[in-house]
Amino acid sequence: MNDLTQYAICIKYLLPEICLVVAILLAALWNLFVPKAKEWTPFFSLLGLTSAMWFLMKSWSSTALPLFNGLFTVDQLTTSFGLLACMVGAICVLMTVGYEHHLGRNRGEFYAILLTAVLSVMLLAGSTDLIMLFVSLETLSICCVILAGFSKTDARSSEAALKYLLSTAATTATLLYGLSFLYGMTGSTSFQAIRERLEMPMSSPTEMMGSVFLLVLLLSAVGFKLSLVPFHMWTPDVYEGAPTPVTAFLSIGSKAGGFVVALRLLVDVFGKQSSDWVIVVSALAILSMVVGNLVALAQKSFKRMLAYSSIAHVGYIMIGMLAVNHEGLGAMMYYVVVYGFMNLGAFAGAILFANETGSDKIDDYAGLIRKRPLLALGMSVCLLNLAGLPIPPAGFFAKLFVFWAGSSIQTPVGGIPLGALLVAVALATSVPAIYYYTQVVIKMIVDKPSAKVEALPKEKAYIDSPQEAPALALAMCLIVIVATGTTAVDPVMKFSKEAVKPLIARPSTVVPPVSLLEDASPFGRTAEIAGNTGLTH
Amino acid sequence: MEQFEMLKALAETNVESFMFYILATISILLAYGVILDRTIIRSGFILIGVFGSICGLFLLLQAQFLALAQLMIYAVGITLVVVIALMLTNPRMEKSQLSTAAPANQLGAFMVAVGLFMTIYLSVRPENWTLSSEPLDMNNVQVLGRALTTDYSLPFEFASVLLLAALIGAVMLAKAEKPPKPGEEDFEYSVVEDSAAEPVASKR
Amino acid sequence: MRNGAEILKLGTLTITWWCIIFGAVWIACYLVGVAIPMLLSSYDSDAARITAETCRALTPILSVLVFIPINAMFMVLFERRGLAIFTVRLGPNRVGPDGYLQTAADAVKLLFKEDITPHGADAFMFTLAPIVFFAPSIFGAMPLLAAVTNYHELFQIVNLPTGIFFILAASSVPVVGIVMGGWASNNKYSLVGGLRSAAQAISYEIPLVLSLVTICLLAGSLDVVEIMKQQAGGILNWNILGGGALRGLDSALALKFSNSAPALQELSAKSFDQVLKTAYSDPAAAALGLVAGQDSMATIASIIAVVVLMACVLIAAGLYMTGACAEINRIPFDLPEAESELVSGYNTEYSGIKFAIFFLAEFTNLFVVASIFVVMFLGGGDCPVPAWLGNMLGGPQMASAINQVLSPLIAIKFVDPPTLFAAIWVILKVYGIVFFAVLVRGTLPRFRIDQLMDFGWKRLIPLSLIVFVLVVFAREFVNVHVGS
Repeated sequence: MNDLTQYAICIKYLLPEICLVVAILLAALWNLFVPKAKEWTPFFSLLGLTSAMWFLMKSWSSTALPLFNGLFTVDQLTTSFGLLACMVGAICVLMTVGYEHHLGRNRGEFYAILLTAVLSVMLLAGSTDLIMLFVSLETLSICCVILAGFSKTDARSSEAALKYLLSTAATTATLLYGLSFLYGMTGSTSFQAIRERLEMPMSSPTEMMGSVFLLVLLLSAVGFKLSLVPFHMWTPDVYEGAPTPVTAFLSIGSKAGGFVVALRLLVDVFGKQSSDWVIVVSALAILSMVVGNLVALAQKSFKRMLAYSSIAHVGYIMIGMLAVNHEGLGAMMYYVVVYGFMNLGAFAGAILFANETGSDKIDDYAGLIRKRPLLALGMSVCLLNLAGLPIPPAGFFAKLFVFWAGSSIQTPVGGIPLGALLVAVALATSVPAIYYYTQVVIKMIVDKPSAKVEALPKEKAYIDSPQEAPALALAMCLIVIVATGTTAVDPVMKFSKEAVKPLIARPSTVVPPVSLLEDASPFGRTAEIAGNTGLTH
Repeated sequence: MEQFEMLKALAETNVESFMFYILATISILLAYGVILDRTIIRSGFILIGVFGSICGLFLLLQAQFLALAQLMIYAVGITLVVVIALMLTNPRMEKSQLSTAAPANQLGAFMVAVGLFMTIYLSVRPENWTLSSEPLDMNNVQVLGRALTTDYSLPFEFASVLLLAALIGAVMLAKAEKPPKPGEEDFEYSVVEDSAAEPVASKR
Repeated sequence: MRNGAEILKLGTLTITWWCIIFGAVWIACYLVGVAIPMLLSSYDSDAARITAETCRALTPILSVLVFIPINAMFMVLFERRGLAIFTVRLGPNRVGPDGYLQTAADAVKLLFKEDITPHGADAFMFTLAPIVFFAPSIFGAMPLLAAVTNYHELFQIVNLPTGIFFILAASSVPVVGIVMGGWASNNKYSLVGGLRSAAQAISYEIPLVLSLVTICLLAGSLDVVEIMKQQAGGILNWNILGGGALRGLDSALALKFSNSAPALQELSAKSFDQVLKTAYSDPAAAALGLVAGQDSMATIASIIAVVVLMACVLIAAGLYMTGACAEINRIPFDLPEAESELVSGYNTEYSGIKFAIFFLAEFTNLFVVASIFVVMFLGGGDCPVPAWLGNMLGGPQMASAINQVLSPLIAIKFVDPPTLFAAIWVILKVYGIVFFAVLVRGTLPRFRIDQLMDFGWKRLIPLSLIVFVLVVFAREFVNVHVGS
């Protein structure tokens, strides 16, 4: 009987995931069995996502509940990243509706795989065990590869898929190597046990060397997912080649997965060793900000520009994480939310523009306001916010909070505190960012219409056409941006701070893990199955 | 008789380490063979041998299930499919595409490899490891099965979602795209690449 | 009538050859496994003990090494003569008395034939291929040895807790040899044969494994000896009839026909129907009956479950045979060596001893596959006659008579009666399956490659999954292998 109640608890807290799995199966099978009614698939997907969001909001609780004996933890971080992933997924689905003509005959499959990617981000957010972490991270990577190559007739899309596949395979190997070292050193796959083991004093210099070594391996994997600078090579080509809704998902959905892994692994598990990784991650962040912003200046393609700018944004976001305190992590979360919607809005605009003109060049956007004033204004708001200008001040606040938190980092680097250095670099690199974002806005609003824009028809193409879905997505993003920048700054900030709470304040009363094994001891489990080896101490 | 039992125990441990050294040598040599052989299909076949000897190493560790899964899935299933895919490629590409790196790069790669090896060796030196005193259950397949259906059921089930997605994706990417017939539902809006003469998103 | 005479001839041929095979293997095992250790036991030195231990440990390998070539020789002859009967021909009948030595002569010829490596072939791979093809059949058969010898002490060493999985893993390796040989031959027919073989083996392995997994699920074990032991006690307990689904019937019948006093008392207290009913009212089924509000529901649910289980297992057996035929490239799945399309497929370029090894391995694989079927579905070395029926027919008397006759041999440990009977039953059952395979070969035409793939992926795999799921549920309502 006990077993059954434990199962019931697990299933109750996994209801959002179950909703998504049902939606995935429906999306995949509907096209197979009812090919006449293909246009229903996005509705199923949206239904699955909204119900998942509803269950997620219902399961919000301030105590962390470890399910499956600590394999999957339901806490505020899990729920908030799940919500973020679902929202991103919903907006990407809306974008895809207007983009379907690029996808050939395989629309249902596209939604199914998109939802699988969302699901894997949700599970990644709650992973507190190396095995769960690896399985969900792999699912995310494979789904992203498939999605990137979805436009089969487009050579660039295939190139993007291949590049992503190869680089993701290399990182997976690195990550797996790091994880096996972690397991070998600590004798457990559970985050909690690993943390407790790592918090013990290191006995020998070689052991410390080992922990630094595996930190490097893990950082390279996380850096790849986040496209931090030395690991960013794949980003521009994949962003440019992949179908635009996929690019939108990659830029925020898959990155959300990367952030949560970084938070769980670096801040939570390696929290005590923060002095080991803070310097390295700061170097990566500084490089990302500099390279991302400078290279973005030279781009002619809108998607490519957004790709480089996303690299730079990850650099900014990392500043929040480097502070390793509640302020910093809260600011980071706030930035992630705001950045997500700004970016999605920009991509929705790009889809709307490309659907009508078939172009992705920045120059072709010139004079868009004459023909499509709403689109031009909406995109301008997104872009100006990405630049960090206060119109409305969502992006501005995000940057402000992150810099504020970052300035408190006191670790000295060559005499000056690290925080000051980071913020100085961030401020300096924001200047080119403002230039390349506003350049697009100025082109759209001030310049003479380009040939492509000139050729656009007069009548509105949005309402009652496949275009209305991406337009709706853009509108939703705009509403969120305006809200976060004006009236809802406080609630969003509160939400962000609440979300990262489990990383900062570990609850004093530990909820006993829900386990299905009869003789469940928190750390005996792994030893029983495969363990038997571990470093002596 | 006591002496005999001791001898027997000694022989058993010796056989185990003897087998380990043999299998380890074979797998390392074969692994070199994979990267050094100039014929890519031969490399593929040698890779099967590498997996086979690793299967033997797992058997020495009493991980029967893992060993057999390694043999059945990696050595035969996956690698064989890889070999078949290689057979379908153009054989003339084999020789020309394999170029050797510049000596400077080779030296650099060698240095990095040595450095990496030293780091790994120093951090996981044999004296740092200990064997647990817990006796190993010979029938560990049951333990594995129980773990996979209870505490590890979430990753286990999620792996099937992963495989489903991979399957759908593979079929989708590999399937030949038929050109859509005019008048078919798929063809409702044509993509305009260069001429901006007509709106793309016209109504049905 | 002529056919009848031919069948009779085939029968005598079979029995003669069986005696040869049995004799050779038995004597070899006896010498190495029993006689030498017995001789050595008189010396009280460690070296002697270690030699004795080594000899005993090597017995299983030796038995297989002796068994495989002789058995394959006979199987080829058996197949040719069997096919001749089905196609109303005579078959080989010149060499030796009535063709008894035809394949032995063929083997000698193959050994002395020139061994040619074709121009442009990859010589190393070309030589390695037959070995890779043949070696796994030796290893794969090992755990089966423990089962078919009724867990004789000499063969306990080869039993594994993961027995059936080991056999499956080993039997998946030969396809590497086929692909390797096909590629190394530098011949496009060989290459196509090899590729076809790989595609076919990978596709048909899934229903094959799933059908065996169904049986493992029923038995709750991967250990072949364990699975065989659970089926002991006559045909009603065999897995092909639901793996204990009929156990209730069996025990009821045993009570009805037993002569012992306590059983009679029990029977007088309860009627035959009642015994049957108790046997088939499983707790789970009873719970279902309670939910439905009817007591009889329990029995009805149980009987439905029994029927479903039996049907599923029968289908699983069919799936296994189909998959196995495809795995070992038997007609109707012999596309890798379809002589009308590919000359001889992957072994076109092979001659001499290498060809002989390919040939040997193919027939050995057929034998191994049939023995897996026998152990998993047909109760291994179990006598098909249930104990109660055997008692009525005077089984115990017969057994004691045989024991008496064999007593001098038993005394010198030459014969272990349970092992002997098990081996005889196994060989009978296995050759029954082989005969069936020959019948199929004589009857069915070959598939086309696309039909083959369609059949495998769209019919067999879904069917095997359905069977698997049904068995999961059905076994909950039947007391399968209680207390074992």
